[in-house]
Amino acid sequence: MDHVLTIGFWKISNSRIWFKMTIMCMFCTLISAAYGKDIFNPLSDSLERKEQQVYKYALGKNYANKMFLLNKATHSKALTNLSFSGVVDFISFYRNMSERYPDMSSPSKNLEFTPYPAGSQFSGNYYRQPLIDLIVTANPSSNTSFAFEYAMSHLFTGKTGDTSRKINVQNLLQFHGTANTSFGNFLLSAGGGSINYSLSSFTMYNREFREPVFEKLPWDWTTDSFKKYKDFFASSAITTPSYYNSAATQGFILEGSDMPGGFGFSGFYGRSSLSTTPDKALAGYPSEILAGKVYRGTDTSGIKIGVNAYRSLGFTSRVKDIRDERDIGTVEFNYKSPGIRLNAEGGMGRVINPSSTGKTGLALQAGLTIYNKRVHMPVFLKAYSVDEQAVSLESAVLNSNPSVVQGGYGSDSVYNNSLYQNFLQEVSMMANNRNGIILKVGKSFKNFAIEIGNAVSQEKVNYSNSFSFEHMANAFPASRFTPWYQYSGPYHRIGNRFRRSIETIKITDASNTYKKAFNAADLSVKWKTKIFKRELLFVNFNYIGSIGKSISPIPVMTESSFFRMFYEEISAYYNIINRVTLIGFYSMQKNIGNTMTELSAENGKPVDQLTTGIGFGIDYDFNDSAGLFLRHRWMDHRDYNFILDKYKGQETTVELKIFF
Amino acid sequence: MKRTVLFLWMVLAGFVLNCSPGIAQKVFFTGLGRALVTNEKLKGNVLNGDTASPNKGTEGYVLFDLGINMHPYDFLKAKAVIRLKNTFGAFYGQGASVEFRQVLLEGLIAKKVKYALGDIDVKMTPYTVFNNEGVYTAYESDLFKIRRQIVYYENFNVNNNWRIQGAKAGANLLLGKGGSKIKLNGFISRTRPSNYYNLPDRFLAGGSIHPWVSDNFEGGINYVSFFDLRQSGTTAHYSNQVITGDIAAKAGNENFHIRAFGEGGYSLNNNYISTDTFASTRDFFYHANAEGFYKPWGLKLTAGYMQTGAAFYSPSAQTLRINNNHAPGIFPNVMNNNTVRGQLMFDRLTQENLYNQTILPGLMTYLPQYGNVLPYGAATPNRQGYVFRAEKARPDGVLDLSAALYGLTEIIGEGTTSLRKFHLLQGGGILRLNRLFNSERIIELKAGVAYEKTTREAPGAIALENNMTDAGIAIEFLKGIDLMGGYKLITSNGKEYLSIRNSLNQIQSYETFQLNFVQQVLGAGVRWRFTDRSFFTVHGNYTLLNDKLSEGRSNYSIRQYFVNYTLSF
Repeated sequence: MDHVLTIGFWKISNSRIWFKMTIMCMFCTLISAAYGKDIFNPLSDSLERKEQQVYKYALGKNYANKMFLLNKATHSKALTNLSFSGVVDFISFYRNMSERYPDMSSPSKNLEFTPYPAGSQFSGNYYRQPLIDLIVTANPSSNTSFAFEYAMSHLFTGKTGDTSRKINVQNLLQFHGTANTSFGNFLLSAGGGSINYSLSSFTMYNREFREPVFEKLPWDWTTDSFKKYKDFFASSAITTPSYYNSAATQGFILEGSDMPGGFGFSGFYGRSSLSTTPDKALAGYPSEILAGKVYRGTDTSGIKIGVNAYRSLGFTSRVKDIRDERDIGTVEFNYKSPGIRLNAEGGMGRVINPSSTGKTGLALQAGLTIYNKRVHMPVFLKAYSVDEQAVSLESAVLNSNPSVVQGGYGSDSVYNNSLYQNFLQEVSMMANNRNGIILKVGKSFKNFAIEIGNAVSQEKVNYSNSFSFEHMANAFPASRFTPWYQYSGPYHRIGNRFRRSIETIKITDASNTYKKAFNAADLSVKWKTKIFKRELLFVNFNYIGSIGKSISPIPVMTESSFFRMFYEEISAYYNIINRVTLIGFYSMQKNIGNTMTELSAENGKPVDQLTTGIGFGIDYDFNDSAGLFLRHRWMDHRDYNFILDKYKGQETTVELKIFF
Repeated sequence: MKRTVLFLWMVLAGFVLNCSPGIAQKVFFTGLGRALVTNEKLKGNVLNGDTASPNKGTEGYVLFDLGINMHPYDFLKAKAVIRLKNTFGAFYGQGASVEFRQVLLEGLIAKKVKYALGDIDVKMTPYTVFNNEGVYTAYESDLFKIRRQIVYYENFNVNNNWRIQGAKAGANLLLGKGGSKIKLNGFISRTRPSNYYNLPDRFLAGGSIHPWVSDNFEGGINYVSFFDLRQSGTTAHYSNQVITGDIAAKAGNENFHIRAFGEGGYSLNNNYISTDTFASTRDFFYHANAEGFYKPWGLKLTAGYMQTGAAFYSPSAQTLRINNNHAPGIFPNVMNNNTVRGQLMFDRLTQENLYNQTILPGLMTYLPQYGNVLPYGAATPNRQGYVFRAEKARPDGVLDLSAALYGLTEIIGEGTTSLRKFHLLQGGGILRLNRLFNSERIIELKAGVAYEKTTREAPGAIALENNMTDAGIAIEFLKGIDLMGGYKLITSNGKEYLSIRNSLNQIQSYETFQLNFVQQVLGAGVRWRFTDRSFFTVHGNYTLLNDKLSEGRSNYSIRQYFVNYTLSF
């Protein structure tokens, strides 16, 4: 029996077996966007659609069709057809810093052929964007398939015998097997590269960082640039697809669906990109993740309940029997109808390592989205309470427990990119050691959309006298000053992560009788019009945040707060002629500490930073599958009191991207 | 290297993608993908007071071998196998590699001569070119076979072939209308390049002519030479030549036949290192057998006599596929990380790094506990005696049985005038209960044993008994899903002297081997078969060493979980 499945722009038709497998794989293996996620997506399903697009790219243009939908009749014993697809992606940036941090890993004038400086002592080979990513897929039989890539990167060092050219696996090396029985449908996925996997918000999921749409993403899927901006206009302020900072895994995933009684399950055994380091992996360090869920119900509508379990097993060394373990068990309830979407999850977690208490902690969250088609004003409300002992680095919850280190206990904290201690979060984020409430409201009109978000949270226990915040302005450029390094900058307070730059400030107030409160609010305004009959989009994003001693319903932008932050971002996208988009961008961030935070040795005053970024760009889609992209940015940052904390310069990025 | 890989790959890929439609139809792909993770834990007395030896670990990898096969013409069939490999737990390109696993050009010249060039597999007779398995595996559990197949695949151990780099050619030429034909085969390989200083180029070349080949008779001559290209790096040079004749004659009808077959030959070894250090030896062997086969019963009986001279050297038949000097890949050291852990049978069964892929001129060190009667296979030097075999197997039979008995002695004493006596009894059976119950699902039991006894009277008395017992079970409890179990018991008790040889392959000294241990390997698991060649499996293995000589101080166990998905086509 043939079915037709339409997901976004995809229209897929084939046998019942593959139809089911498609659904199962879509929801369980990679995307997992709708189920359990706090999607505040009032205007359309474009986020989901984007992820489908990314999915299509990530697995190769033909992979999805081949893998899930191949008709049995097309098989022959000899495999005579492989599907080839992929992308050519040439990225180069030139940076000229008139003022720079002294520990920048690259010189003032720096030309690179990779998104992150290749010659840095910290990154180098850690991140190579393939110049050619050739994806090969096939179905050797009706119930098996594979997909892998030859990721060929080139750093253009001018040398012939070095390692500037590499061919390896970046993301895709997977095998699949399926079985369709009267007892249910089963899918086994195994492989390396990076398999995206999610279970639930507290166990295995992803974090949601905002990314300015001005920035080009390495995995940008679009071949119609202006459509991308229009999609953004139609979507939430949360532009980050679910795979971003998601649980990238390697190992084995077994999923079952359509089982008797409406049950299904998903199980994972393997490692994540955060659970171990490459060196430890090569040295055979004992560390694995065992996770799974059993559920009843479907993602599409009605009630779905599930039990989730996550266990990150390991030891601190190959010799001693000192455990390095994180456990979380939760129960999850989901309800979905046209007007209401409810997701609630609750459970317990614990951390076992030499620095932990070993006690169990609570993790609770409930999110409710109400959407009335006539009013067209969705409201999202979420409350959460997560103890410090509930830690999964692969979850949606930012970890503030310093005993849990990326790569395993004892790994070098210099490269711990997963600690967000006392972090002034973005509105949608959850963190552990925190009680919080998130409220978001949106309203859209034909040519105008507005979204407002407010998040209030307070730490459960005051463990440390410090806080951290995000440098939203120039986040991506700043993140590659000293990539991945956590104590950089002139005052060793800046931690750079993938496309993020985070700064930690000490609180000098010796008292810890209070619990720090964190407030964040954002306002997103989008407007579209026409000039000379060509479409013009404006996007404005504003964020204010504060960290104080006492809880408040809104950010407290006065001296009483330890820290105040204001971020303003305006961008415009003008489709000047067919296939050409002009882009303008402005961002500004103001960070102010009070006198109870660390003071400058120069003048005895607290942090007072101003960061600006001004940029323009051109997107030229010279073919349906190819585009040339230019970005230029002037950036400036200075702290008026910590006078060494300053940089100024400009950066030009050129990208040629061709899908095939 | 990377550049070369990339370039060659692009050439191949370009060829595949851009070849004309006619040729494109003659392109097909083969491949193997494997995801494999093991988790192991070492326990036992051997760790008492140990604060430095690793005792736990998690390892694994994901790989994909893509074979691109192009067959544009009869005279050209090109194959390239490209391997992608990713260490388990290393992300975004780290711990990942791309390499050529095989390049092979082959074809048919003048519709008569088959040739192959590149990474080729060669096998001739057990005394000339033969990659001995080295362990009795006929009745090993399927659960262990999965592990063994991985190790063999990684080390190119396929059907007693050696994987070498070179060229080979062969032809079967018909003689008249009688059906007789001449079989011609030859190969040449460079097994080692010169370093332009003190190592000359080394080659392995061989061939065979079988001028009388028919349904009832075949006879011919085989020749193998393993030699250095003199003056290509140094005055030192090495050569070993083996020439043999083999013959087989059969008489009888469809239901019953008797067959006589055998091989005999001669080796000449010259090893020149310097004017003071050189050796030249020569020796011979022969092996004659008589066989009777009764088809209705599926019964085959064989009796034979073999004699292999003490100085008969045939490196391409005597080189071991396992390197007994290598430390195990998991937990290589114990005793505060100061003592190399000896190889257990489980290590030899499961660890890819223990294996040897190179043909070596000298007789390699072997471990008597894992085979003392014929450690170098049929071509083991200094052996003479009888061999009896019995085999009962029918294509649709419920029960297959086989047994072999070797009664051998040394020809000359090693370090003494006394001669070792060897006895080897090996055999076992497979019971296919599904055939009894007329079921299509697998219900299979296996059991086998290999018992060895080595004795030598004084002076230099020796008494060593080895026993390896196998048992296995596989039950397909759901369609395509099998429960599997396996058990191995290895015991070794006694004393043996191991010959230590110098670079001239001469015995220099003897190392006393005192053994008294029991090893057990227990495995249980599930296998989910997607196709005949693609499956997912999870095993739990437990191996135990009880070393009685150390009064328990060296005892230990290894627990290992094994998760694997193999996809091949």
